[in-house]
Amino acid sequence: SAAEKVMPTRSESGFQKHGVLTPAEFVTSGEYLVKTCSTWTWESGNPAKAKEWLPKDKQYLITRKVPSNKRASEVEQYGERAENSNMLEDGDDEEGWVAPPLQSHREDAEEIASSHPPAEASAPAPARDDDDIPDIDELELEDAVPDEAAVPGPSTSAGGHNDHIVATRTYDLMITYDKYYQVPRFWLIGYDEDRQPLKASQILEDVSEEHARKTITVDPFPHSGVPAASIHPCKHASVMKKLGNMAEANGKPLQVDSYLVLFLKFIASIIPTIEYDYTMAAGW
Amino acid sequence: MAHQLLQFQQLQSTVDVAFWAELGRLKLDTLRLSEDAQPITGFYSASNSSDYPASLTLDGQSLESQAPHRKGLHSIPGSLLNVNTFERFKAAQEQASQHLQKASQQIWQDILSGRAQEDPGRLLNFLLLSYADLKHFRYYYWFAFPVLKPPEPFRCKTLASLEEGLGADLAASTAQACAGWLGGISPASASEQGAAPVWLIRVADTGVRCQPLSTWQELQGLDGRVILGIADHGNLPGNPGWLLRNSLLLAAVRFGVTELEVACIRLRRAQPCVQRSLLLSVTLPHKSEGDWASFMPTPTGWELNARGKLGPRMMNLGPSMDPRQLAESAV
Repeated sequence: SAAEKVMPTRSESGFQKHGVLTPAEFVTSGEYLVKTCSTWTWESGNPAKAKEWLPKDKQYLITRKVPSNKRASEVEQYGERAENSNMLEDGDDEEGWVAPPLQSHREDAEEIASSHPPAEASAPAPARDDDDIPDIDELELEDAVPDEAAVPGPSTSAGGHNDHIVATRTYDLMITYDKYYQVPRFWLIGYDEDRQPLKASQILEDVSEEHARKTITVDPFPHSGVPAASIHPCKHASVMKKLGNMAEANGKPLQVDSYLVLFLKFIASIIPTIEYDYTMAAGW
Repeated sequence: MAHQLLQFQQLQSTVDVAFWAELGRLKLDTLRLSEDAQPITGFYSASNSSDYPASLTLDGQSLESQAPHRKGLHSIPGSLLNVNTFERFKAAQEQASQHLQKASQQIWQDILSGRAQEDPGRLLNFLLLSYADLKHFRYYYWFAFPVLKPPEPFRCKTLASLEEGLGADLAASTAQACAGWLGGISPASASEQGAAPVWLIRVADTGVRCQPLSTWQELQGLDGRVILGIADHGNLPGNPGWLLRNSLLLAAVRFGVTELEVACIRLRRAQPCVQRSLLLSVTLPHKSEGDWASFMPTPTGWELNARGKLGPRMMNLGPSMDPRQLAESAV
């Protein structure tokens, strides 16, 4: 953003007092995340779009192709979870954040049929003003020599091997450093069961109801320019400060290392159906 | 008794929006009307979930001439044939078998010459046929993951989880050695391209060690047992992934063995998992060196579309990239 160009980078540590991070602390915390939860990795992104206040090879964090086979509204445990867990009261404002439980329910999560039509029906929607869009289904070939060494696909084996493979939505999740708000910023790019990119309205189906309309925006991802959904970072610092205070009250004051681990636990309350690994051993 | 025919789970592709955005930019600024084949780089990792297979992914960096190595991902060389019109796409598609023949010929040459043993990424050399309809933000594409059919099918003598196959202790030390290999921690696997997706696991009294594929010949005559390790994208409990096929053919040709142990390494939370990884004993076809040189394997490997047929796919980026559609959906 324009503000980022003229603003000085934060140089004084403030995560305990204000819930914010310096770029160096972001890197420190990211290193810890990558070490303890190896599905997350550093990425350099497009070199032309690199931010000078971060190392070239540590521009942002990514975890790829994370499955999400249910929509937020289908997650029954969500309501229950909200009741049983710690509600973080936010004094003068109705935005209370819900801390997720430390144990996830992924093991007993049932596979629920997608709310989307099966692949056959999800052929590209006809564009309104373009009649010249060719039909891709014309372009199918017959396999002259069947390949006996391939596991039969869903079409050739009625009730066969592949039935337990669930076509699912997947997400690429990214964490950047937002220089303006001096906090990590969380991004999502999603794909549907047929590998088409999800529209913003579809991504909102994976966001808990109380946040869907308020906190999610679509912006160009800073390191590729591709539109991505993002959780707006304006409240992150105050939430992180509260979570930090809670941790301190429990006798485990927040260390800069664990900042992103804690941040992800908070993000989990916003996107309850995306099964990224926030339940790893790393305590705080 | 005839052993069971070994069947492989097909590799799937996933293409990030960023790849198509970058291709669109490259097409307008650099490639223009050129239809020359472009080198590209795909990435995959071993499967990390029992519910979903891993896939070969192209992203914003796949078109860079020196795609950076990313931790935990294997870089696979590929070739992009991007054509200018839908008619050209259709024509190229009708020549699908010629394209596949050409790509697989390269792999066969690399197996025979030993080049693939030095650089196992070459075993997986893939092909992407595409047409970018930049006006409508629609991208038509078709992947081929060429595999060469052996003269006799590969057969499976035994198949078990790594834990059952090796016993808990040995499986744990094998998983640990493979974690070192995959993480690039083992000096033998640390290279500019990252860890090779196919390697050797030597199990001896002195411990379990991972070594490059090229050390097979040195290991003969030493004590211990040698297992072929592969980062397996598949998630099926009874089938290895697609990419093992060319590796087995390499073993038949270069190692000259008729039986081979294979460890298909799969992950859980990005670490090798002894319960999900497979240990197989496979029988391989045998031929003399001269007979291999004159053998012409049949290729296969075009990806199936969503209907399970041989045909291309299309990604529609209109809703997220087309300024007209974005303007309409913005309130």
